[in-house]
Amino acid sequence: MDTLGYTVELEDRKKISEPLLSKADRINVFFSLSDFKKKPGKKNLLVTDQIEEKQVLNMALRQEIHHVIQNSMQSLEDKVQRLNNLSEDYRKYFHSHYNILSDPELVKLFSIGPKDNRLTHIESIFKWLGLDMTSSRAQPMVQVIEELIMNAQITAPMQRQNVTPKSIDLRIEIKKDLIAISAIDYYGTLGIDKFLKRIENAFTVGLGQSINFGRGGAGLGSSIIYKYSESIYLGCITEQCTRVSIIMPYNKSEKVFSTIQKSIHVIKL
Amino acid sequence: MSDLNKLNIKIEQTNGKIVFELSGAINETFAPFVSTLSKQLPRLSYLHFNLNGITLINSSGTREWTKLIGNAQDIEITISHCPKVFIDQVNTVEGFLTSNCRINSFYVPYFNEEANKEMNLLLEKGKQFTESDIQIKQSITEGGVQYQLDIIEKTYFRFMKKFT
Repeated sequence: MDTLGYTVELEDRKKISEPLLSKADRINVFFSLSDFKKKPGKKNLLVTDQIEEKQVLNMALRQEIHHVIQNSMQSLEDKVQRLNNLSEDYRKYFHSHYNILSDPELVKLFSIGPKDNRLTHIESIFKWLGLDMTSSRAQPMVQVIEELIMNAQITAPMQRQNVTPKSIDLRIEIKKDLIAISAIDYYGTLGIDKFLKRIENAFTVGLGQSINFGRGGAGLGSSIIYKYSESIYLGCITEQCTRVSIIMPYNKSEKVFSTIQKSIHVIKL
Repeated sequence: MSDLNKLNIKIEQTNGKIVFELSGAINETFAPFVSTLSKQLPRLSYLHFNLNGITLINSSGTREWTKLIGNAQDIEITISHCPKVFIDQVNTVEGFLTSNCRINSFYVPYFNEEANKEMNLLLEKGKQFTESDIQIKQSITEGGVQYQLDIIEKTYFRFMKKFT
C-alpha cells in the first residue's frame, strides 16, 4: 500500500501508521477532533483529511490545535517520527542543523548576511539544486524562498528597536518529491497568530484587498508561503530566534500543487 | 551577479506610443519606476508593457504593479509576452489588472518528465487565441522531444474572459 500522495484514505493511513504510533511515546496522535478535544495539549497531533485551507488556519488559531496533519506526500510515519523526536525538546527545532524531513537525501545550510542580495543567494541555491530558477516548475520554490528570506532579513529586524543586523540561516532539505525550506533568524519577532491571521484575512477579503499600500511589507508574503506549502512549521523564541519551515512538492507541476492538503505545526516551548 | 537579479527597464517611444520592456525581477526595486511613471500618467493615453524577460514577481512587486495599474485606469494598456509568473498573479490578485488592460500574448509552459525539460510556447492574439476562443495543443514536439501541457487549463486561462 502506498503511503505517499494525497489520495490515501484516513482509515488506511491509520492502519499503516499503527505500528509506528505505538512507538511514538512522547506524543499523542488523534484521528478525530472530538477525541482530540478530550485531551488538548501541545504534544497532541490531530490527523485529519480534506479540511479546507482556511479551516486549517482556524483550527490552529482558535482551537488550540498545534499540529494539524493532513494527507501528504510526506508519509504520516515520517511526520510522526520527526514530531516525536522533536517533542523530546522543542528547542531542537530552532537549531539551524535540525532537519524537518527524516534522512534527507540532500541538505545544505546557507548563511545570508543582513545586507546580502536575496536573488544572488537564490541563484546559488538553484545552481546547487541543478534547476533552472526561471522555469515554471521552479517558480513556487523561488517565491517561497524569496518571501522567507525577506521576512527574516528585512521584516524581522524592523520589529525590534536598536538591534544589530545579523545573518540569517536558510536550510534546504530534499527527499524524493519534497523540499523542506527553513528560514532561521536571530531576532525572535514573529507573531505566529498575526502571521496566520494575515493569511486568513486574505482568504476572506481576497489577495488584492489584503495588500498593504502603506509603509512596511505588502502583507502578501505569508499568503504566498502558505499557498505553495504542504506543511508549514512556525516557531518563535521571543527576542532570540524565529524559525519558519515549509515542506512543499519539489519541482512538480501545477496539477500536483492543486491537490495539496495543508498541515500546520505551531512549535511552542 | 546575473541579469535575473535586477529589474531592467527599456523604454521606447514611437508614434506617440510608449513601450516598456521589463526583464528580471519585479520587486521593491520597481517602486521608483512606479512613482516616476505615475506622475506622467495624466499626459499619456497609451502604454505597452513587454514582459518577455520577467523571472519573478515577489510580494513587494505585486504591490507596486497593482499600485501602478490602479493609477492608470484612464489609459489604454496592452501587455505582451506575459510569462506564467505574471499570468498567475493576474489570476489570483484582483486589481493586478483592470478593465482597461488587454493581454496581447502570453506563454504557456510544456514539460517533458523524462528529460526534465520545460518549453514555453507563446500564444498570440489573433493567431492562437481571440477574445472568445483559444487553440491549445495538449502536447508539442520540438527537437524530437515531446512536451506535455503543464498547467491546469481551467485555472490558467481564467484571465482570458476579462483581459484579452
